[in-house]
Amino acid sequence: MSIITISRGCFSHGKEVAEKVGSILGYNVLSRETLIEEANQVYHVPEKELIKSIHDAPSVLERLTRGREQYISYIQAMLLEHAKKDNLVYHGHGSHLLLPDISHVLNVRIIADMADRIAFMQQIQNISEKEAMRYITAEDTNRSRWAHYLYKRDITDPHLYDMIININNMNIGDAAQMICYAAQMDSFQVTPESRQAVSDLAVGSRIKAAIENTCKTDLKVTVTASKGNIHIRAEAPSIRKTGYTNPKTAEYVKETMKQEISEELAAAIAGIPDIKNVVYEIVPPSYS
Amino acid sequence: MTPEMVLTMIVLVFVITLFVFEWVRVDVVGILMMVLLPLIGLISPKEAFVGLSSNAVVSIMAVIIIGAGLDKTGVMNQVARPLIKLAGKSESRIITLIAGTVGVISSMLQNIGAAALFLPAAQRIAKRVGLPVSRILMPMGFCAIIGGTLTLVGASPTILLNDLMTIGGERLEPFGLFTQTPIGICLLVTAILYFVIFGRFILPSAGGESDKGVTSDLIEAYRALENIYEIDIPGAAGEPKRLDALDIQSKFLVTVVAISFSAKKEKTFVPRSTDQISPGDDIAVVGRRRNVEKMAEELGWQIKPALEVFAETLARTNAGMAETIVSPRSELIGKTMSEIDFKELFGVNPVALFKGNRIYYSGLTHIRLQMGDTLLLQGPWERFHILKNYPQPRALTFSTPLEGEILRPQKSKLAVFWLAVALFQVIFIKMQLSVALMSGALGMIITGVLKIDEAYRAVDWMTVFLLAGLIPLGIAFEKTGTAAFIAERVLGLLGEPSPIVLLAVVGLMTSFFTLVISNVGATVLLVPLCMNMALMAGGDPRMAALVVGLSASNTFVLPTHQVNALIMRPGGYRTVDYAKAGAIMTVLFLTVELSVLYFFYGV
Repeated sequence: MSIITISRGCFSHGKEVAEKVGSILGYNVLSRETLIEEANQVYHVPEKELIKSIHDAPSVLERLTRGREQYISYIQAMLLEHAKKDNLVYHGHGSHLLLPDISHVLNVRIIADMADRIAFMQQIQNISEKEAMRYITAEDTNRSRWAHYLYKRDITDPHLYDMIININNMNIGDAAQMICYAAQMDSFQVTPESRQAVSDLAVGSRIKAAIENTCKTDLKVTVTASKGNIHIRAEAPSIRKTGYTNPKTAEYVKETMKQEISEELAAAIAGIPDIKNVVYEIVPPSYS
Repeated sequence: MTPEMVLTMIVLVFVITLFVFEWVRVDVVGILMMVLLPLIGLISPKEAFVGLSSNAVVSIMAVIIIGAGLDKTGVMNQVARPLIKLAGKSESRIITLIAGTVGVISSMLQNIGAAALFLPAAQRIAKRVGLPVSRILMPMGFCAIIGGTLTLVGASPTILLNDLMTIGGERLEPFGLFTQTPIGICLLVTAILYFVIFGRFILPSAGGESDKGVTSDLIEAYRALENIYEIDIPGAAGEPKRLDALDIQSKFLVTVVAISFSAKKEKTFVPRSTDQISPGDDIAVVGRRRNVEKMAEELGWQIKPALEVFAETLARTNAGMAETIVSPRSELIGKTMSEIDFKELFGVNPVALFKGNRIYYSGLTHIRLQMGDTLLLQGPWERFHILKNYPQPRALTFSTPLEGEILRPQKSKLAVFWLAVALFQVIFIKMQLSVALMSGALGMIITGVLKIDEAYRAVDWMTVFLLAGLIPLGIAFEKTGTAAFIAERVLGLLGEPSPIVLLAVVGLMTSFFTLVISNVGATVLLVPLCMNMALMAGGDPRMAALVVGLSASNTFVLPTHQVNALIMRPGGYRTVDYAKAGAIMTVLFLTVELSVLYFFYGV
């Protein structure tokens, strides 16, 4: 009983390994595409945007509007719904970043030589070597920029993974066997604490997604959950004076907005199960 | 290029960086300039603090104090009330009245204050006539911003102009309070027409949030009391009856909180059990909708769809509910409310009593109070503030924050008088703006409209230090010849534009800068530069300064400007709504501003 995440560069045979692991252990295999489809249905956002959000590095405008975080929160919420049920193999880059700090998650990264990746891509898509190389290099840069911007992590850093497999030196079956062996070790079995961690993360990300889906996008929201106790911190952006302002009026404006934000948040999360208590920390807008 | 010019340019780049990245707040940048400029020798230590005694700073302090005086006496509410009654049901009339009034008020007072004052009324009207509130709030917000262009003291950038208008060591003729008014009026009219004609196409029809506040939260908490209802006692309702004879509270769990006696043309907001209700009267009640309906049906009364007679007096801005707790050592402990004549004593209506695990809605006045009992009271905010200011040991402790404040309506005529005195000096004696306005402010303080401490508390120190700190920067920019130097280079690039084309460029530039950096910052940086450019191109430098000052209010595209931020949630707007409606407004603003200048100001 564990969760396996397989992170890989494109055309590094990650999908094949994941499917093999799934069939050996009888685990449910989940791909990024499935999550995107589910998020599209639940949160009614275009698939195109969801794909972009988990794939491309954000543009300058998106960094300002924080559109990316919004879409990623939907995908993360969907992934955690699956994670709650255990016995899962998820393959998609950045997968380990979406399921942080859970002891029964085995994080694997599969790497392959560039020449092998190029050959594999050429074989599938029937394109020139140059084109394949250009595509793979661009893709690698994009993915690493994505993780760097959103999670401040370098996805090629070995410290992020429990195990790294160089697929060049073995076949897919061997790689899958190694992963299955590791997944069955005691270290990666579910404990009451790790189950609680998944459930906290799941409710937290569902709340975050609900807030992102219904509240104004100007809010910077962080949600932490611990045994059903939810802490929501919402930070309003700073505002600029359009003229002089009596301090009393400024205070009134801040208080009014604080009140409105708390009502907005409460309405957004109404009906989400597993919430015991909610503590709101609302930082009203300040003058810049 | 002289060494001073190089130094000034370094400082300018530094300041612009600080403005754009906002590592420190804009007013701190101002204070930084007061210190940095004399330290590096760009201006003398004496010049460093001239900003604090400038016309702009003193005028802004005086205007804020005058505004606070008008606010404290409730003059603005008195203006708002009849206007709101005029609004009627037509969308264009509502928009014109509300947005127009807010615009006119912001011509002298803070624009955010005007918008905040009319926000609840706008929400209420929208609800009453069934119009999406989003159609009213954005016109109101935009007009509040535009109102700032009606007079020189309407917004901080224009107040600053007279202090910055020095060119080649020579002071230019200062602007009067109303020099810019024709432009402001045209802008305001344009904005209103824009929303009246195109509002339905560009504004979302989201309902937004309703007029909520502490009161509705409390009502939710008590659940049983859902709303305040106004009820009409029809002519056919029979004989006049005393409240205690009707026994409404114990029969229907409904509390009467106000009566309007039609015969005496009087209203009471603390109805007593001995008061008589006669046919033709109106009453306001608090209670569960179901119970109110039952009562109306049984007694043959009619529930009105919305507050009418009590629309203003029981509006959220004037009256509401507060939750209070019987304090330890309270004089109320061990007594019943009827024994101490609670309503008479405190002037508020007890609506519910939370005692132990039970909530009582009827017979409250006969229950003996204990420490820690919670009383839900309804009444005017003013009464609550008086109650809260009682000396210790207080009878009741407030467990919810109070809205509103204690007003001095008896001083409202004096407040208006002193405003008139200030304006008279400006218009007829041509007195310097700061002196005229400060004398009005002083008059208000001396005649007790406002206490001096209240006046001090009203001043916006952020804006004061922002202006005072940036004025020396503007002086240095001009004095060192840096402004002229950059102006020459820019003109070299532009060729030889005609004055109106140059002004259009100035307007565009300012509108862009004011979106990215503080409007005052944009003004200080652009006024010396644009005046020099205008002079070199054979135009009028004063008009260039005016275009900068006015265009600095061209802030409609982003929700980050305070008035836009205030109406964002109540109006249910998204960022894209501002971008859409604001972009057109920005273009209209520039077009109208430049056209009026071209045709009427001899550009």
